[in-house]
Amino acid sequence: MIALEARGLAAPYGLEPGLDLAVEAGAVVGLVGPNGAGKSTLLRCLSGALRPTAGEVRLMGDPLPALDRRTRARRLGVMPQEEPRLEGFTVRESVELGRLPHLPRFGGLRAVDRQAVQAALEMADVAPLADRLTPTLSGGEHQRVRVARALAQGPEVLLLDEPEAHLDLGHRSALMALLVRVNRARGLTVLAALHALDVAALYCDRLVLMDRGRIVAAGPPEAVLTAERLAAVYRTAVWVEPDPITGRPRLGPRRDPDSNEDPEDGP
Amino acid sequence: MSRGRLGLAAAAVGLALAGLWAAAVGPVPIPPGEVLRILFGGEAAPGPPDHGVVLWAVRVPRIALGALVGAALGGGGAALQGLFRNPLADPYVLGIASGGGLGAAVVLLQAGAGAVDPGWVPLGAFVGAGAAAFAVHGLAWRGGRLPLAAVLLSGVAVGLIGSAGVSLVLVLAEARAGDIVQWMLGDLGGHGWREVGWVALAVLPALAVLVAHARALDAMLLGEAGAEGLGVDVGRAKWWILGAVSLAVGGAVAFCGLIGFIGLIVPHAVRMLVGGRHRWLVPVAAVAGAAALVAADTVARTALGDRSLPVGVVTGCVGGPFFLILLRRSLR
Repeated sequence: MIALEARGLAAPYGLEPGLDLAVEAGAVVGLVGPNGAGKSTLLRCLSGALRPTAGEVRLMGDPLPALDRRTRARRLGVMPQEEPRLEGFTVRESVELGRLPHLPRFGGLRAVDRQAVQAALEMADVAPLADRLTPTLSGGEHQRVRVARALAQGPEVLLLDEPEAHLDLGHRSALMALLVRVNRARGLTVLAALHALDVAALYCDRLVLMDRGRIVAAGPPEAVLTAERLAAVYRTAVWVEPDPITGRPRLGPRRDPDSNEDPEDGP
Repeated sequence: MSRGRLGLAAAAVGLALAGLWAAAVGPVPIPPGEVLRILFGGEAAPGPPDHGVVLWAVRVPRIALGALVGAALGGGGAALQGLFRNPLADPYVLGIASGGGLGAAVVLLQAGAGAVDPGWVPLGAFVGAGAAAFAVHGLAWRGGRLPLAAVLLSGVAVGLIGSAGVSLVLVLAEARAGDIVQWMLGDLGGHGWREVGWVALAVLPALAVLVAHARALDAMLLGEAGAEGLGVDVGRAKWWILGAVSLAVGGAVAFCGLIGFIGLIVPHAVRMLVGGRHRWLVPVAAVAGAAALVAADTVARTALGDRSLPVGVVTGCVGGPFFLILLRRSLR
C-alpha cells in the first residue's frame, strides 16, 4: 500500500518537472539532500500547503485537492520547521490544539478528545510536563510536545521538516527514537526531511536523496548513501562505511591532511 | 473552577465595582448605597439635585459607553495580538484607530459643509479602520510571516498617514476644529443613550465574531503553515477577524475618538490570569477592558477637580510606559 504518492510533480523555485515519489504505508522515510535541494518545497507540495504547477499528490489513493481542509488535517499531520512558543499555553493546551480538525463546529473538547490528548502526551514522553507553560520548555522538549500534538491529531501520515535540526545529541536521539516508536506502535507513516545524514541513516527504513530539485536516489540507507553519490551531490569528499553493530552506513566528510585549505571556504 | 471562568468572574466584579465608583463620584456625589437603590428601582431622595436624573441621563449612559468602547478595545486588542502573533499589537499601535479617526473626520468635515448627514460618521470610521487594518497586515506580511518590526513599522506608518489626514481636516474645518480636537484626544462625555445604542450595535456583533474565531486564533499562533495544517482556512479567518476588529474599533472611534493602550495592556494582564486560549482570552479581555476604561474615564473626570481630562490622556500616560517595557522584552 502506498500512503503518499506524487506523480509528475513540478513547483516553481524548487522542483524540476516530473518528480515521482511513493512512500510505503508504515515506513519511516528520510528526505535528505543539500540546502536548497527542494526538500521543503516537496514537503509543502505533499502537505497541500503549496499547489504544484503540474502533477498530483495522492494520500492513501485519494487525490489531495479532493479532500476538504478538515478531512485532510485529520489524515495528514504536518510539522513545519519552526513554530513560535505559545505564550500562556500549558503543554496540555498546546497538544489539545491537535484535536482542532476533529471538534464539532461549536463546543469544546469531548471525552474522546481528552483521551487522545492524554495518550499522545504519554506516547511522546511529555505527560510529566503537561502543566508546564510552553515558553519554559527546552528545545528538545518543545519538539516532543509538537510531535505529541501531531499524534493527538491522529493522522495516517506525518510530514516533518527538519525536526532534529538545532537539537543536541541527546534530544536528537530521543526525538528520532520517538518517531520510530510511534511508527511501530501506531503504524503511522513518517516522512521527515532530515538535516543530518548520520541521523537519517541510523533511524530511517528508507531514504530519498534530493539534489537541485530532483530525486537522485531512493531506497534503503545502505543503497542510497554511497561515497560516490554523496561526493557528487554535496560536492565534497565523503567516507562511508557500514557500522559493525547495526550494519547501517556511517559517514562523514573527508579532509585532506596534507592540504592547508580552510575547510570553511567553499570552492 | 477553571482559570477561564475565574478570570471572567474577576473581570465582571471589576466592571461592577468600576461602574459603581463611576456612578457615585462627580460634581454631584451620590453615595454608592443610594446608587444601587436607584438603579434597582428605588425612589431617589427628593431633589434638587435630582439623583435619579443625574444617574439615568448622565452617568449611566457614559458608563455604558465606556464599557462598550473598553470591551471593543480589550477584545479587539486580544484578537490582534493573536492574529499578528505580536505582543505589541493593539488597535492604537497598529494605526487602526487612527485610520478610523481619519474616516470619521472626513465625514465630519463633509457634514460640517452640509454635504452629508453626521449619522454617516460611524460608517466613515469603520471604513477607515478597515482600510488601515488590511493595509498594515498587507504591508507587514512576508510569505506567511509577520515579523515583529515589520508589523510595528507598518502600524506606525499607517498611523502617521491617518493623523496627518486628520490634521489636514482640522485645518480645513477651522470653525469646528475645537470639537474635533476634543474628540480626537479620546473623550466619552456628552453622549446619550442613542450613541450607546449605535456603539452596541457595532461592538457586540464584532465581539461575537471574534469569540467564534477563538480556535482559529489559537491555531494561528502556530504560524500560518501550522494553522493550515490543523485545517484552518487562514485567509478566510483573517478577513473575518480584521473585519470584526475594524467594526468594533470604528464604532468606538466614531463616538469616542482615539483611546490608546487599553487594547495593549488589558490582554497582557488577562493572559497572565486565564492563559493564552482565545476562547477565554477574548471575552475576559473584553470585560476587563470595559472595567479598565470605565475606571480610567472616572479618573479623567475627577482628577483635576472641576476640569475634565480627555480619557485618552489618562490611558496614554499609563499605557505609554507599559508599551516601552513590553518593547524592551520583545526585542531581547
